[in-house]
Amino acid sequence: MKKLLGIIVCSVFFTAILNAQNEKFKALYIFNFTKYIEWSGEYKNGDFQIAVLGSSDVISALQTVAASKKVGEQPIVISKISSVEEIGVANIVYLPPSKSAKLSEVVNSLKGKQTLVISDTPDGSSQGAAINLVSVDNKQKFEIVKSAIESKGLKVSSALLSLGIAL
Amino acid sequence: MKNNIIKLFIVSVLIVTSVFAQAQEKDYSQLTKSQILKLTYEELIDLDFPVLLSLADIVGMSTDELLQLAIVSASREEESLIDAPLSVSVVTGEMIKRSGATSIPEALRLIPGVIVREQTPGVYDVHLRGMDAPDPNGLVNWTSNSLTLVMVNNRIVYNEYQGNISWELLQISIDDIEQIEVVKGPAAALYGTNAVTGAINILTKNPNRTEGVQVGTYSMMSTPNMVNTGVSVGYNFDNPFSVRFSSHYENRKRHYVDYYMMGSQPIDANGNNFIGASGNDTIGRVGFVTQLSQRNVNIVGGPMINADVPYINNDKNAGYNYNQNERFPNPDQSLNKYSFNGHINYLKDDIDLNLMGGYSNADVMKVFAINNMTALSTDVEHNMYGQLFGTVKDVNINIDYNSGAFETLGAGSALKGRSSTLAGDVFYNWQILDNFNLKPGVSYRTSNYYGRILGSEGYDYNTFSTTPGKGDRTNSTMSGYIRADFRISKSRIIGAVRADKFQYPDKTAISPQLVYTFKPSEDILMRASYGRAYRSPFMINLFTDIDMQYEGSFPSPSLEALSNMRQYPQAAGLPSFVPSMPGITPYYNASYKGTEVGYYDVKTQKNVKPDYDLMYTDEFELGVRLKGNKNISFDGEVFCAIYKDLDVFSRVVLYTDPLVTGNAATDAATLGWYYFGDPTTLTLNPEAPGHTEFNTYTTTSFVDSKVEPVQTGATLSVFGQPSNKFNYNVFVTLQQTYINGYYKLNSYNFVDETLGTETFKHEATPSYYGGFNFDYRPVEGLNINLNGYYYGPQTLKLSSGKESIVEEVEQNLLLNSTVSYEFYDNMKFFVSARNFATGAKRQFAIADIIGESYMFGLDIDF
Repeated sequence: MKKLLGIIVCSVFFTAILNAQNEKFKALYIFNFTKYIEWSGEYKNGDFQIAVLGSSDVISALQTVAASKKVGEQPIVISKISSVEEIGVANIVYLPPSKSAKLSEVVNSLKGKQTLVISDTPDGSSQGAAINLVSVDNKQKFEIVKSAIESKGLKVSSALLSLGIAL
Repeated sequence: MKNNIIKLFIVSVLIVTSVFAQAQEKDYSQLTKSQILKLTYEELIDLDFPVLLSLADIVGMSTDELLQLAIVSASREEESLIDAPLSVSVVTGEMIKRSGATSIPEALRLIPGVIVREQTPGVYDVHLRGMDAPDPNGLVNWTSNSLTLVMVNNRIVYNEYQGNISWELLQISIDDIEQIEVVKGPAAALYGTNAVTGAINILTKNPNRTEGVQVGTYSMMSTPNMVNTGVSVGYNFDNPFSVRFSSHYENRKRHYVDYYMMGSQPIDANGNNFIGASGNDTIGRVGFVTQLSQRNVNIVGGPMINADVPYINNDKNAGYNYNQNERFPNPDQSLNKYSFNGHINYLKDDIDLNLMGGYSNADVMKVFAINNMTALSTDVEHNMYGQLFGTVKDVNINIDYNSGAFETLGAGSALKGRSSTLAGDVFYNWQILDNFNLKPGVSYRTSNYYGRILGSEGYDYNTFSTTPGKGDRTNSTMSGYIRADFRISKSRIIGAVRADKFQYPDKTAISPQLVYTFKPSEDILMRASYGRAYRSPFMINLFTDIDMQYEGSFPSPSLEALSNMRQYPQAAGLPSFVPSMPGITPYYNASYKGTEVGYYDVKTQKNVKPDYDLMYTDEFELGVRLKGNKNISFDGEVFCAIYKDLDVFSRVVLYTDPLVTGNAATDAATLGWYYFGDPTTLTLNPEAPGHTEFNTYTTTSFVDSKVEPVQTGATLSVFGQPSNKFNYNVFVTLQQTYINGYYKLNSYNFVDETLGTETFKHEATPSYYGGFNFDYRPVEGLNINLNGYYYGPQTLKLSSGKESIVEEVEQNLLLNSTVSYEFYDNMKFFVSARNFATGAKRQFAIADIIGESYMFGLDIDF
């Protein structure tokens, strides 16, 4: 019994330093979206801001990408935010699975803004996210809602629509 | 052995160095999952999004769509299951854990075509498509499977003594498993001899499978009294190296304690069994007793004098003080095992090399080698191995070494031995054209076995005393093979042939394989195949050389009658039959001789070496895989296998003292021999003057038989994933085996060809068996699994060496249910009910009753 307890304690400890492979691809997906979507106005100037609501390993993965890449001429800045109010003029806000409950609130607060909402939950698209990362047969896919993107005044390439699951 | 190591080393170094510098520019479309995981951010960021998506698809390979699972065992290269040219099934580590399986053999119940019986809790008998105990007059060790090639990462793990598998001695646990692939039917052309009924290849998690830190555990506790814990840690460095270490501990108690006695048990003066504790114990015959006492006797009805020290106060005149505690020091415990395993991977460009090593130690109660008394024996075993394997560009290499020891307690040191094996295999993956691939390869294997069963007259239990020049045996096999894979349009033709040249017997086995597949669309594959595979020559066949002596019994009732046997006064502690010959002590001498040792034929006064024809099978198979919609897919096959040159271990010599003239032929004329084919000239004179001993001698060896088991059957699997919340798999195998050309035994238990042969249905393998596995995920993180395994009734027939044993196994349905909840990323807590539906039954006829159990556990994997 002592052995089993020891294993549980050790395992929980190690989980804290987990860096899952999925997060790397999610970050790369998010970066690649920017190649196919065009922002305008103030969103096209200054830093290209990607906000992540809450803690997520995607943040460090995104930071690795941001260190070597730009969106057009815009340097990429990754910020971890803890509330909807902190989104500001971010180009993209990503909600990790643990913050899915906030999705409707985020979508509603960003009406009229060009901030692209990317969710990561099975029903994210139906709750208003423009892009939703989904696992289909354990493969990392994404759903894309053209109308939700265009309603924000963003232009989206048809190539991206064909790469994702267009809804 | 040292020279062999040097040869293998040099060959390997040459191959590795010759292709080391040939790394070329990366073709992303050809990358494997492991290689993708090694790509850096810099490399990935610059990829076009469609390329990145395709890589992500490979990394996130589905575990639910069975047909899309990547497998390697069917053709020794990675391909989707639907394309696999042979009958192959696969189960992933994730599926195993969802099912709540507690051991690797139990996990094999999730795979069609595998017969899995739990002998004692946690200890299993595993057969592919049966062929279990095909000889109803065979000894108990022939009930274990020695016709399947079991491998861990392509490393052969069978026991050199007989070719059977000590599952408890694997250095890995479920926590280590990436997936298990099972090839049913002969696969010798791909893997080598002994893949007669098929091959089981257990692939372990590679430390390069994920980034950074890896931690895993699959641990559980259950009623009644089971603790089972596998733990692992690993790290994938930013450089080409990654490492992983794991350990496993398992302890299980028996659900019910009883023993199957292999010899008739004595009754006391009042006609009662000596044990007398329960009605079950008053057997007076072979059968189960609920406890052992010092008065239980061995398989021939009395204590063994020679080559055995199974009891305290080993004095043949002092009584029958069997020490049951020596045979079963922990009567309540079925298994106690611990093991360690390490894995270092080097992956860079076209080089993917793995260095593994491990150690295991187990005390196990199982049915294997008789301990001269009961079907169950306690075996104490340990094993260590080292292995280097992988690919360098298009060259695939494997070098492994293992050594170990085992002892069956209570059989003196008769069944105590050490073994070591060195093996190497190299093949070249030669893609000549886009549609034409050749794989030429060579392999070498040398095995050493040291133990008293291979030659001993000594008594010293502690020092392994063997007769000089005996007891230490080595056998080697040199092999070459080539496999051609040709695709044209929708057809694929695979032809393979392998030649294995054995040192002993001095023969070459040629194993061909021919496969045709036709894939009219992406969703249908039809296949037809023929294959031949030989059973490897093992130490028991070749070099068994042991002589044992027992007091006071004779090998058959007819002999007993002839030698003026009578009921001895039933004093407590004495067996029923002791010959009445005042002043003369009777002995029963039993010898077992392998084909390379030979035996002394008392009639011709010559040493005879039986010809060792390796057993083989010719198998024909038709199959189809149909990927329907997401709701339902099929995988089915029909097969017919003909087995030839079945091992028949039979009595070959029987004669009695006293020798009067010292000339066997003269003695045969005057005294008479009990001899194969000549049982009629019996004129026995046991009370010849000057003799104080009366000996009966029997020798058992291999005889050339014409026994041809023919097995026909069909397996069908139906599976699907109707929704993201539910997937299922249901499978059944129907089969029958007829034993043709079975020899008849004469009244002295000899194979007697003059009596003709017979054909009968083989009933030790159930005529139907299969299982199902359902997973339901009602909400995220929660998985409810229900799986079952069922088999039809069976009749196990064998011989104790003296008596015939016939025992039934009832049909059974083993139901298990496991509920797991992912309370944090990749961390699950689970509860499980095992075998909860149909009550406690014996799954293996002469082993334990297995009851239900309830467990909880933890599954972490990241």
